Amino acid sequence: MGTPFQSLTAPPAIGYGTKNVPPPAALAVSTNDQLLIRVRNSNAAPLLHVFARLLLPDGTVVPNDWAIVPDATRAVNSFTFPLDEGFLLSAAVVATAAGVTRGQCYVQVVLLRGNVTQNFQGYLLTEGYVSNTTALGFPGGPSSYAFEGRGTLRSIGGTTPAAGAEISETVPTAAIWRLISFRYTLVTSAAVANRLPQLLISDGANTLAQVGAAVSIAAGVTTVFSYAQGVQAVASQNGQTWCFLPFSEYLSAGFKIQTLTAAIQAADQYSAVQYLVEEWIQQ
Amino acid sequence: MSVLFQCAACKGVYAPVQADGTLYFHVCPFLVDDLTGVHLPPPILRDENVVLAPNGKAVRIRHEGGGAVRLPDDVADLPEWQRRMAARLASDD
Repeated sequence: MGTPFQSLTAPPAIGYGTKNVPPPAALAVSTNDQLLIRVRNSNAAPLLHVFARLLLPDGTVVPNDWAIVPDATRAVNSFTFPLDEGFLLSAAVVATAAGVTRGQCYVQVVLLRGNVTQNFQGYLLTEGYVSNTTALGFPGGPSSYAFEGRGTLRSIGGTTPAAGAEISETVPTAAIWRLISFRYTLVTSAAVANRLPQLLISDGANTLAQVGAAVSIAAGVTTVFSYAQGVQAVASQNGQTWCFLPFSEYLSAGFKIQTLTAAIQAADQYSAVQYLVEEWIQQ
Repeated sequence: MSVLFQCAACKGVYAPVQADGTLYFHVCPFLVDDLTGVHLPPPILRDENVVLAPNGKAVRIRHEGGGAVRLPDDVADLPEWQRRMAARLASDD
């Protein structure tokens, strides 16, 4: 018969109080402190709610609910909310408008001393994306950088250039794109020439990639070009031409996606520019 | 239907509000000099992207250029390629 089980865990050397225990002091706040919500957003109508629970000196727990609406430019929108003296127990940010997806609305929740201009950030409580199905919370909520995990998928209708001009699309301010597909139509005029369209990716000044279509386009033809990852270049079939894109083409703000057409004629017309990107807020 | 604008500088036509409600920031194309990929800015450049201050706040758009005009909602008088674009945007709505 074996020896009965005995715990070998050493007994604690420190004693703890069990009555009249003071709350944790890290989030003790005063009337000099504010809750700062800093938002960068690309969604058109992202109604956000900020919830916070505050333990007051008299023992009551006060819930707060503030509604905020940031703009859609991806610029920093700062919202501050004064706090009473007490202890901040929890904070959460929720997007209540439909259609807010991960990658669109990046939120930082900060305990701020003074005002936004002084920018004394006493405590970064949490940061990450919110959507209408996922909230951001403290304590216990995950914190993540803006360029982390999956972004939002955007189907973008680009600029239709004037006749004889090239397509040019630019990554907007404070965004990061992963280019997934790019599609456009070229209607060539009656002017006789063999046009050689290419797709050109640049940082705004220097060319990073230049992908040619496996076809030249004669006069008086309508051709749809589809660029996508993982496809093999296919010459025009029934007016459709497939071309490959480099894998995982990450593009920063100011980077450009353009056409470059040898022998383009004055009345040639690009149109129906449509492309798919995965987008993040640039940190 | 999405509202269409035409850039006065490059004559490009675009929808500043996309079908999903997100904003589109038009930038005039650079002029491609030759097949070596040399890019030159157009004489009047419109760039609707916002300029951010060091603290990240939006200050203004980058270049006003020659401005942009809103195209009429009635697209009957538009060229064929613009009517096709308008119809495609309407089907996205």
